[in-house]
Amino acid sequence: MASAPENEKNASAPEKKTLTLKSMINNEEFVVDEHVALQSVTIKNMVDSDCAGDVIPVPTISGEILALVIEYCKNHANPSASEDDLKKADAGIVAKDIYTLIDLVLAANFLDIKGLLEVTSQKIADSIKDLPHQDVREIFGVENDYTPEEEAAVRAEHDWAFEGFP
Amino acid sequence: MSYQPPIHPTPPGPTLSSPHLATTTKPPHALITLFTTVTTKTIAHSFTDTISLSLTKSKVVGYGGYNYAIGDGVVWFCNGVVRLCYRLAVERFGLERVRLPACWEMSAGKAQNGNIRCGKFQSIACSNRKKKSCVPSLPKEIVFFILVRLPTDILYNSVQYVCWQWYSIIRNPCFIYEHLHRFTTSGLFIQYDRLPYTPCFAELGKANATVTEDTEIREKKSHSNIESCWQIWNDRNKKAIENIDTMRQENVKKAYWLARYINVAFQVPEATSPRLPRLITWLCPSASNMKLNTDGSARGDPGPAGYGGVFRDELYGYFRKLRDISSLEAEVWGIYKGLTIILENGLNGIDVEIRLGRNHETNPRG
Repeated sequence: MASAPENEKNASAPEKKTLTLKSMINNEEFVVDEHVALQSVTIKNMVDSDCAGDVIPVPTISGEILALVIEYCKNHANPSASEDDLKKADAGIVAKDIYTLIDLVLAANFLDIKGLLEVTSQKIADSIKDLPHQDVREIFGVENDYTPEEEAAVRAEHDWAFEGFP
Repeated sequence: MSYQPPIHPTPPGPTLSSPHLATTTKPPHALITLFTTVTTKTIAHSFTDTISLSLTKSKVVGYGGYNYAIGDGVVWFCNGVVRLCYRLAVERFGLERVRLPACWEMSAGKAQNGNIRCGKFQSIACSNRKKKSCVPSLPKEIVFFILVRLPTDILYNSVQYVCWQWYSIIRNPCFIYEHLHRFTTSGLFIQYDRLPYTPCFAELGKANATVTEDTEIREKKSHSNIESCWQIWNDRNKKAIENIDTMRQENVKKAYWLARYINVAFQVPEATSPRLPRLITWLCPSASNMKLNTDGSARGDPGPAGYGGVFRDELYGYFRKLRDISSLEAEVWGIYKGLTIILENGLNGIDVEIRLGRNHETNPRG
């Protein structure tokens, strides 16, 4: 009678595979449980189509960012975590400076992790909300491609609405 | 073929819906307010104009002088107009019971926190300035994803000036659609002064706007309506038993509208394919000119229709309901009526703006 659960345990133990994610930027390696890594749709597709070896190379994502992503995945793979706990943990993960957040959002997009993408975008949106557009340009590394005339035209589109208001 | 002066189709109701010219002394026949979530910034930027509107059953058909106007029954978001319109609503129409969405106060609190965060954030940004070169340019879809989470006033006051790509993302119909879905507090107030009904709040965020009314107001309204039914019944009894004619027209009218509104309320909404919102811009007329905006629309083809128009600055407005015609015809009626008013009043220097389907025309006129 006692052997039945033991058998199950034995059967499930080999299934609990681990995957190794390797950042191609600084060659850091992370060993994670498969069910944690599978939250990334990109990795899931790779595993499903059998084109993943033991080590999955992750291009364009640095080890620092990959650690954050894995932390997020671990939190969300834990079935016993309550929603409040998850929210707190997410807030902790995205409490970073804007440049880390931009890297993180790119990583989330590449690995296709929907929840992380949303949390990070929201955080970025909150961060740039109160900044003048010159600062936003600088942060995102965007060139100002407006000619002065074009910018004036865009501004003039709405000027009439503010007539008579201080 | 010689030009035939058009004949007005007879309106389908009591004479209430005859063409109507509102002047500045009287309130314009309808006030529409568009708003989205509000922060302290938006309150500083408000709008000056009122809007013309005609109601074709429960569908809103109208046009107006806001920068994101209502046209062809699709409603646009615009940077906040709330405070002003609330003031307008209170001062001009004596609407003390206009219900304010709960988000208003909340947003004010948020904005205060925002300032604190802003200070903190800037210091972070400075300390990391060297890292700038490592930031890769973001793919368009991620920019979309971030921008769609920003409130409208931020989009319009700063973010659209960042670069052309961002500007085009913001002006994309898909973006507007997504944004409307996220900020569900967008909506409009409708005040219809020709009917004894108090304002409605139409909540947006879905492809078709649904008009909901303040429950308190609705109770009051239904009370007076039921009362008028009761009075009709009494009048009828007096006539039948004592042969005294006390029938009052206003009661009949009230009952008529009650019946109509009940009828509309129980109608199953037609299954329509969701329409992608488009951004409607409004061009300011040159300083010396007035501007006439018209619109018309029909529910069904042909179907019950309406048209309306508004003259800017002088605040003339007109509207009318029409019996079954096509929407194109309704649009033309709107223009015709506007031009008639121009002729009758001998007005000079009017810009006329009409909008037909996807095309947008502006005809400056001497």
